[in-house]
Amino acid sequence: MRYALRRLASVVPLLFVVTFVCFSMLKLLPGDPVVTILGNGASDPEKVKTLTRELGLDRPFLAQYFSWLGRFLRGDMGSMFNGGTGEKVRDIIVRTFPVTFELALVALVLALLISIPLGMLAGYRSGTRTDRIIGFSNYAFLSSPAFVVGPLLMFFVGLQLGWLPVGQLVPWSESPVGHIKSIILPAVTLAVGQIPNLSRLLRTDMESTLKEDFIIMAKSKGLPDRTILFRHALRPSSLTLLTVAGVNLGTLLGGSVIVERLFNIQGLGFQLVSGISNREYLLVLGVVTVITITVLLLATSVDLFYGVVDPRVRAAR
Amino acid sequence: MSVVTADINPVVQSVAVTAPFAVKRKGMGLGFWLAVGWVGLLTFCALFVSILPIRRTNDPDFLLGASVGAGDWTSTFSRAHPLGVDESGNDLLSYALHGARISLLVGVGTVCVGFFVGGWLGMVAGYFRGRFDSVFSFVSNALLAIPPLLFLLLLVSVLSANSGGVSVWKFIFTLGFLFVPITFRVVRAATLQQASREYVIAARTLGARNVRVLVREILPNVIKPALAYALVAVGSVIVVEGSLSYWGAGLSGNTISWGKMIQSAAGLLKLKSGPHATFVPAAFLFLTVLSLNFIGDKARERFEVKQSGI
Repeated sequence: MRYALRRLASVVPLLFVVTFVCFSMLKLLPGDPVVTILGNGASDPEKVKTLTRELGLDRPFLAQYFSWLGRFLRGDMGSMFNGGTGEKVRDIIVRTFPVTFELALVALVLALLISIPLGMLAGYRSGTRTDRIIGFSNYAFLSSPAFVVGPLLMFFVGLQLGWLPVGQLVPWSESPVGHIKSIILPAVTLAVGQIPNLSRLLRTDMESTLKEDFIIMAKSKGLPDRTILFRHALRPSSLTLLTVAGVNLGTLLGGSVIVERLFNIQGLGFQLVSGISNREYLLVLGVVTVITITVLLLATSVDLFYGVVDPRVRAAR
Repeated sequence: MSVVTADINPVVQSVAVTAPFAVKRKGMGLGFWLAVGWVGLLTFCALFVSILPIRRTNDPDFLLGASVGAGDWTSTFSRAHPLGVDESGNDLLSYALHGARISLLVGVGTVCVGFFVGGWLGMVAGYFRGRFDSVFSFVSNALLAIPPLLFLLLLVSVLSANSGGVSVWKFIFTLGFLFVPITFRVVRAATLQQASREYVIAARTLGARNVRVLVREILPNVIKPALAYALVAVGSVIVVEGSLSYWGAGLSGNTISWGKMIQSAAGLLKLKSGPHATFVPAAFLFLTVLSLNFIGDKARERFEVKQSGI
């Protein structure tokens, strides 16, 4: 328990550094948001002055940072400058976070579904031709970034074969089947990068598990290999795999930015890119901070969970 | 190393995970030499692309001679254009080779910058430990906690906000700066491993100064795994450059890169009419990154065998 608290506490200074770095970088973005807001009205220096004061942009840099941080901690991320609506950044994030999170989650599940059989087979047939073929395909997956896989899938599966729709995500409320269909291609694109890591991990663990006494015991009882693999070996081998999978959910959140652009999905990444090009730096700051917090919390909780599952880890602390 | 810090960065992770993949064979295998061959050929072509007999752009005489009009740019593969032409009649082979030039330059340059700064810091931190080590480790962990692509996107947009794009050298230094925390960690870990070995203790007992121990004893032993890692890193930088270009946040104006080629050709409509304009740069990128990963991993295996044999 004390360890858990210490771990959680160690996240705080990290967040501090991350937000500070992002904040200062956004401050370096040229272009005055005030001028952007006022548009034609920016020719009036009096107006510019008032608005600058209203937004607190005339205050010293550190004061601006801490007032943003203070409001952020109270759940207020500010509102958009442009568009006249003044929509709250929090509302935008609350609206788009589920989209990205769902995409990342589906991608992770798909990656696990593909990499568990691959890893098991490679570990079971370790050293054989099957192992080498799987090893090579892992290299291939590792070398296929999303912006290469995405267009290929779009072309072959979407356009040539016409199996799955290409383009925007169909909302769940409109048609559940359509929704699932439209999320498959983006999710697969996102998943490909995860497969090699996960399956290699499982392969290594599987290989060492299969050498343990209880497996030899099971074999000498005459159990078929399939039962041994799935019933006896998979669970003890999958501990590291699940941990890493949990941590990688965070990586997927960050990585989904590019997939969102490819498939025109309006998630967090979409907001981030539009925020950068429109100088909505409160939006950018909000998105980056939220993603980073999620990544850190996921990683920390997975780290803790690891201790819960495996008593040896607890003892080592 | 805790799971948190170990796994946030995919680059670091892929390296860590592939380590136990040791194949115990004497030779390097056919795949290795194929990979070396591809990278070598590509480097050669990239260096001499301007004097090789390859057409660069849509010069009008050439188009007439090759009977490829703007209308039927999809009917492509000909002797004049071995890999076809893109939408505007640009020869794809030549574009891909010019892209290779940029990709390799950015990849190698970035990794050099990253290793030059992060490598020294990592060695010093791993050797002396203490406060210096904890401060730098903290900072590098904090920087690695930001999803790397997001961080890059921010940084590159800061740089390119005024000029509508980033020049190659600015890009290299920016990416290189981002590589510093990663190389810092790789080199620091390798140094930590070496610092407690007998030969280091022996050197210190003999009265060698710290600088001498670092440069003459530790550096030669750290540089080999670092180089193996660097090859893999070049591959991942190429991917990062492509991703950024895909966003439109990459290199400026008329610089040709694989990412930009894919970006300009991979829209839905263009995919329908001329998919090869996407496939050609995609294949080049894939093969190159694949080769680099392969060579890097093999090199590391070879090195690890040596070490365990001591």
